[in-house]
Amino acid sequence: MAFAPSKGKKHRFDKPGIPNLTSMIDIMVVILLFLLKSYSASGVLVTPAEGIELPTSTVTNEPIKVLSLVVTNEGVYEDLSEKADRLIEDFASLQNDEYVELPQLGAFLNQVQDRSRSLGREDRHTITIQGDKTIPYRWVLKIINTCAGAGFDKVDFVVLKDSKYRG
Amino acid sequence: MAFKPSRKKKRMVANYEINLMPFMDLCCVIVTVLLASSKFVEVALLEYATPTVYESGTGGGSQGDGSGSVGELLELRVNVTYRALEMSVFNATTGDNYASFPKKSDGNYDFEALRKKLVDVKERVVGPPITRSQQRNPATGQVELLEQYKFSDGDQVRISAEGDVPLQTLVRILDTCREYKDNRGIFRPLFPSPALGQIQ
Repeated sequence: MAFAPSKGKKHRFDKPGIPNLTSMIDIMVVILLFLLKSYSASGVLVTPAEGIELPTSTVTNEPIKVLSLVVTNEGVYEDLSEKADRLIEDFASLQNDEYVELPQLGAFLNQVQDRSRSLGREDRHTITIQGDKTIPYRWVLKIINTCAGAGFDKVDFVVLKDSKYRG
Repeated sequence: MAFKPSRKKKRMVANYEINLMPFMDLCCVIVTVLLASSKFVEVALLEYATPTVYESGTGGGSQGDGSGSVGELLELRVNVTYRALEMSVFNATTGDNYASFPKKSDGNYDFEALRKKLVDVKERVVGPPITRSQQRNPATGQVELLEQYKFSDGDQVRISAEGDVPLQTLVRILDTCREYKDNRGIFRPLFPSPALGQIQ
């Protein structure tokens, strides 16, 4: 005599298996919160140049994109973002203490002002400097003097934010 | 006659689960967008405007009495030498209006001691502003608070350093001179107008 079919088995539901997503959601939420906290709506307007280590500061002013110079231990470069930076003033000029102002940099900045004037724009007054944190003070003074001589009376230094100070 | 047993008890109790798939999709999209647009190196701008430096002429300015009257000069100087930080007001070289902070044993400058001395000068010598006014900055279009002290250069500090002092030290000096945190944890301006020059 044949056995009666099992009553238990035939009532089982064959549901498709759903993976347990709880742990994955936990990770997602943590990542999301972290990214939201570090998110800046203003976006990055100044990208730190490669090959230099910026000084840290407690200032919080957001950087803006203006004419930018990169100062490394090898010289002063024009910051050209995507392209390779162009050398303006070399190490020898920076080291030469006979110069109070840097001749090549002065010529470049005057050229920038002339170009602005020829396009009918007002003179520029602000310049941004991305300087390596190890460059000597006398170089900084020479660059500031040269910029002031060309009409750039506001010199802004790009720095890394020191978040510990303000918490 | 007995009633027929209810069929309700045979109903299966369904174990409902929230469908998390749409939420996961949303999370994935947001995380991707934020990752693509986030910046992990935060940069800021340390502004330096070439200032108008008030200099005392021969016999001009204040000569160290510190009494202060409008137009007198404070002549606050901070010198960074290879060995120490030096601070003076009224061109003093001794007394309460002069201080020297040698490098610490770890080789670093004592910025905190300098800050304390500057706060002391601000409170003891400069005092609170005598007038406050608001003025629109034509360059930025923002309204700025202008404070006038009993000294014409009451918000100014002349910073000088030896030639090979690194930029990082200069930036730290500028930070130290710009503002301080008072007892209530509020940031207050100290000497926010720096003037950079050669060491004398």
